Amino acid sequence: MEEHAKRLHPFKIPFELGKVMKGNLFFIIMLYVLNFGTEKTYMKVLQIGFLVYLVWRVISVILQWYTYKYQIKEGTVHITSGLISKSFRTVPFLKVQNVQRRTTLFHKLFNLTSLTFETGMTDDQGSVPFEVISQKEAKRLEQELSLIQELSVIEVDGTEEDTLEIFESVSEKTIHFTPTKQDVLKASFTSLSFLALIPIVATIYNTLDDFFNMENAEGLLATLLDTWWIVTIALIGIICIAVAFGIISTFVKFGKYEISSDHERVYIKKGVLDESAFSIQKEKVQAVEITQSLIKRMLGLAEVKLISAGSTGDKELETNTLYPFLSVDRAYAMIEEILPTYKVERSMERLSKQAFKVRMLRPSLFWILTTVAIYYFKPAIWYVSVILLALIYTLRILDYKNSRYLLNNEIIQFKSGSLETSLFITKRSKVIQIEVERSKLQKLFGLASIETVNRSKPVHHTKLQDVSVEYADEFYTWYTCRTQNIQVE
Amino acid sequence: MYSMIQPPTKKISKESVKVWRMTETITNLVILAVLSILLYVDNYFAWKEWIGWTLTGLIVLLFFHAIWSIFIEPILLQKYWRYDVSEEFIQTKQGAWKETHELIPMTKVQSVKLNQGPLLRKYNLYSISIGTMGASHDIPAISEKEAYELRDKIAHFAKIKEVD
Repeated sequence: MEEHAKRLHPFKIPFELGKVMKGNLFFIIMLYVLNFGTEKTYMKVLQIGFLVYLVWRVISVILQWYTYKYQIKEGTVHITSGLISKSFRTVPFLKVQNVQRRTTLFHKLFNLTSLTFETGMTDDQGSVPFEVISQKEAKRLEQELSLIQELSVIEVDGTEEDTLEIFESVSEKTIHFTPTKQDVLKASFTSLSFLALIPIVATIYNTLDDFFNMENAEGLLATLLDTWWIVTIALIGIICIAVAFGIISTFVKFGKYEISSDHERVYIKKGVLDESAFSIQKEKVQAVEITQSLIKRMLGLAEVKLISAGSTGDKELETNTLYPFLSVDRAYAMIEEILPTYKVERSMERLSKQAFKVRMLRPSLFWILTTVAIYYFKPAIWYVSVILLALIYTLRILDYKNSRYLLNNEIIQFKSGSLETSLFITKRSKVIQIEVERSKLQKLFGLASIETVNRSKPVHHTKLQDVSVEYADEFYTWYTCRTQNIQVE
Repeated sequence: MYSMIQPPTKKISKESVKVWRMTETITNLVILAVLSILLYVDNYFAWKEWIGWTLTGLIVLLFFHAIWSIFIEPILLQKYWRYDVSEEFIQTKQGAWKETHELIPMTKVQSVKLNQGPLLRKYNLYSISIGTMGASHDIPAISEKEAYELRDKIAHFAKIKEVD
C-alpha cells in the first residue's frame, strides 16, 4: 500500500482565503472602502500595515497548503505539516472511531468534500481532518479505512478462507431507510418548523419599518382589519406560507436522508444543499440512545442516536442521529437490523412502590431554597412556592412512571425522564465503569442508584435512581462477568 | 449488596486522619485570614454595609465548616474508605452518609500515579491516582510499601488491553 505523500486539493487555498476575508471583512471595509483616498497619516499607516498583514496571511495560507502532506502506510495515516517547525503525526486506522464527511455548497460546485476521521482521544488532537479533497480521494480514504478495520476483525475471529467471502459481502450495502413524502410532512409538523417563519417575518417587518413610515401603514391596517374577508384571506395566506416554509426547510434538512449499512459499517447521510455523512464501524458503536420529546411521544415517534467514542462534530448537525422522526416500532426494528448484536426488549421492569415513597419523601433542595428566598424577600408572592412544589412533584411522578430498566444477557437498558424520555441501551463490554450509590434514605427503603459510564465525547454517564438493592447487587455481579466476553489485544 | 462478590476490604492508613486534619486546618486558617483582612479593609474604608454583614456571615459559616471538616469528616472518611485490586477489577467503596461503590475494569486503566505532598511525606504516605478513559480515581493515603506494591500490581495487570 506504499504511496506518495499527497497534498490537499489546491482549492484549499481559495477556501482558506475566503475564511480570512470573512474574518477581516470589517477592517477591510473600514480601511479600504470607507477611508479610501484618505489624507490622514495614521489612516495611511494603518492601511499599509493591514495590507502587510493580509499579504502575510495569504502567503501563510499558501505555505500551509504546500507543507501539509498526508500519506497512508500500513494502515496508518502519516501527516507532516509546518514549514519552520515541522510536525509529524501518525494515526493508526484502527483507532479511528467514526468518519464524518461534509459537503457544503462550495464543495459541491467543484466536486470536492471534506472528510474527518475521529479518534477517541480526549484532547483536541482527536480528529484528523482533510478539509478540501476531491470526492474521489475521500472515497478512496474511506475504503482504505474500512479495509483495515475489516482485516482486524477477520484476524480476531476468522480464518483466511473467510476473508474472500467477507470481502465480497462487504460491498453489498442495504438501505434501511429513506424518508417518504409522508415522513417529511410528519417531520415538518412535529418539529413545529412552520413557527420558524415568525422570527423571519419579524425581522422583515422591522427592516421595512426603518424604511417606510409605518404610522400611515398602521392606519391602513386598521381599516383593513375592519373588512373581515380581507382578514380571512390574509390569515389563510399567512398560514399557507408558514406551512410551505416549514415543509421546505424540513426538506432541506431531512429530505435526502439515507440510513444504510453493510456487513461492517453503518452509514447515515443527509442534507439537500449542505450534505453531511457519518459512518461508523458496527463494533465501535458504544451505545444506542432513543429519545422522545413530549410531542414525539404523543405522535408515537422517536429519535435514535448512535453513540461513538469519537467526536460527532457540530452538535446542531446531529450527524450520528438516525432519522429523528421514526415511528417507535420502526426505530426499535431498525436498531436490530443495523446492529445485529443488539437485541432491544420492549417490556422492561418498573420501579417498585418503595421507590415511589422515597421519591415523594426526598426533600427538594431547590424548592426549600426558593421558598426561603421568597419568604425573606417577597412574601407577597407565596403562591409561586406552591406552584413550584406542584411542578416538582408532577415531574417526579412522571419520571417515576417513565423509569424502566432491564438486564438482558449482555445488554443493559435504562429508561428515565419526565417530559422528555430517554432510553439508553448498551452492551456490557462497552461499559467502561460502573457505580452503585446508596444514600441513608435509600438504605432505609432497601433501594440504590446504579450508574454506567460509557465512552463518548465527553464520557457518557447514565444513572437510574431508586432500583431495589437486590437489583443493584445483580447489576454489580453482572458487570464483574464482563471478562467473559471481551476481546483482548 | 455483595451477595455474590467479595466487598472491598482494604482500608486506608489511620494516619490519614491526621493528614486531613492538618490540611483542613491550614485551608481553614488561610480562608479565615483572607476574610479577616477583607473585614478589616471593609472597616477601614467604610464600604457598603451589606459587605460587612456578608463577610461576618461567611466567617460564622467558616467556623461551623471548620468544626465539621477538621474534627468529624476525616474520621468518617477514613472509617468508610475501602478498596481492593484484583486481576480484573479495581473496587472502591466510600462514604458514610451516601455510600458509593465503584467498579473499574483493569483493562480500562490507562495510568497509575503516586503522589506525595509535604504532609503525606511527614507520615510516609502516598496517594494513588488511577487514570481511566472516563476519569481519574484516587485512593488517598496509603503506606509507602503498600503504595508501591499496589502501583506495580495495577501496572502489571493493566498491561492487558482490550480491543476498543
